[in-house]
Amino acid sequence: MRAVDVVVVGAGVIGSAIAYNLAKAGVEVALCDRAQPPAGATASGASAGGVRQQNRIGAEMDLALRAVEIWRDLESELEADLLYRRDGMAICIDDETLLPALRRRIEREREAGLTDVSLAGGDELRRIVPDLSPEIVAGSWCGSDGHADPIRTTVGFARAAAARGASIHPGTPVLDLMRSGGRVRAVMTPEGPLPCRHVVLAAGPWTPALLRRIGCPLPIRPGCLQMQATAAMPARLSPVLGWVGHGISLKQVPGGAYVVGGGWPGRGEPERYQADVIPESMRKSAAVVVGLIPALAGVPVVRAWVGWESFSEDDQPVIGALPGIEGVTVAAGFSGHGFALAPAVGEAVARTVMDGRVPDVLKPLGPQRFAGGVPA
Amino acid sequence: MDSEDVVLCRCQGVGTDAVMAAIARHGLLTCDQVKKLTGAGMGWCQGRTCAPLLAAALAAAGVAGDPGPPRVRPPLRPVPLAVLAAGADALPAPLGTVSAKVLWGRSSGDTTLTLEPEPDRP
Repeated sequence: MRAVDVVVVGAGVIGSAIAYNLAKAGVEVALCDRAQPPAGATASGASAGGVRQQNRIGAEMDLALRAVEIWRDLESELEADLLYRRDGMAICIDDETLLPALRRRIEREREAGLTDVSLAGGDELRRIVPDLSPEIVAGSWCGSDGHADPIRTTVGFARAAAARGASIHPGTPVLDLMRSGGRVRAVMTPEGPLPCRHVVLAAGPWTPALLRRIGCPLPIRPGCLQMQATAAMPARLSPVLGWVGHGISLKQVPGGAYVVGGGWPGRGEPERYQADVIPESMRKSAAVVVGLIPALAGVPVVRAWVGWESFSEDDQPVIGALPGIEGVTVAAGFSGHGFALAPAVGEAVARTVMDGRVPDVLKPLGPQRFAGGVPA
Repeated sequence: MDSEDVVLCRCQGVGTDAVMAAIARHGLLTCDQVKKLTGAGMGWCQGRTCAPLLAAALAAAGVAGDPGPPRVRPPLRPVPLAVLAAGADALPAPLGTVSAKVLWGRSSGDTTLTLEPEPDRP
């Protein structure tokens, strides 16, 4: 196979965004994926699609602020309809004893630069979402949060990367990294070696298997995301809703379906790329929806689906060059918060790969923070 | 949809024009890919009506080979949220939500009230 500057492993939303930014800068890049994207059983397929800035800590907040700047014009930049809506998000509480903690969180986020997050009372939230349960006493409101379609976004980045010269290799699993003289020289695929100067590992929960092959274990584990959606209904809910302590992310997408995520898991065998819906998770999650918006009780669920995400030990992404080997950068462990960040991650990682300098926004997220490797 | 267009998926209101455009734009090969990128087959009937039409659209676009059916998803037929929810409180929660806390047995650092709401995770 013809040599390239950079091989990106994994054509999910993160890998595709990285490949796009590299191609845009004129770097010769190959984007490899074991499947034909949009692949099943992956996090990019089972993302809830929230484009959220609030409720981020540390470096994730900086990435989210930058990402939402990019999101503003992303559809025209990629020439794709990503079903992006910037209609706000409320994270609700039903327990007044949580108010002080909620206030502190909002204060911290305003100091971190998210100026349009504020505390809203229950009645204020019910003016925005008339059907919201009377149990909700308050919430944080951020008008510049929103949602988008994860599959369209993933494919949109990959297609735009290809249009700018990236080569896309679906059905091409990367089996190993070939090294000599302390740096990576190629990736091994079933069709033979693909020579390159840099490799970006954005393979989600399948990243650790490649890391182990080069002796750089990182504390990243698979977790199975589960989603469900209702039949299309008349448009009635424009913001995204969360509910503290209940594991829900609820939105109505432009097609009319209510889409429900939030943490109730699926199950399966990630090493076999296989995932199944857990019926009890559907039931628990349905109960939360009805608790939050009782008027949705009669709305039928028509489908549920699942995908494997990678979770890091500290719940923050792992982004940066690996120590001990030249030319390998990891971008994984997004812990269920990666979708919204993808445009900013793509931009920052491309810059790191191109000039070898780590942008400030990525400094706290490097793999060096796990000095001890994988905990027992 | 414009007035000349023909409805292909009536549950989601997806027209033939949108489906043919997506097939051409993305080089789609299977009904499942068409479903994921257009929403056709994602509604009430879960493609029972439109799956053959999706296959026909792929054939009309010159796609050779078996386009397969769209993937079948639970719950197989529509179930109202309240029916699904009935008795859910009494269910054992073998599960908890997917989070670093569950997976690693510890929560992340400074998260006073980064209580676990809306991750983009489900």
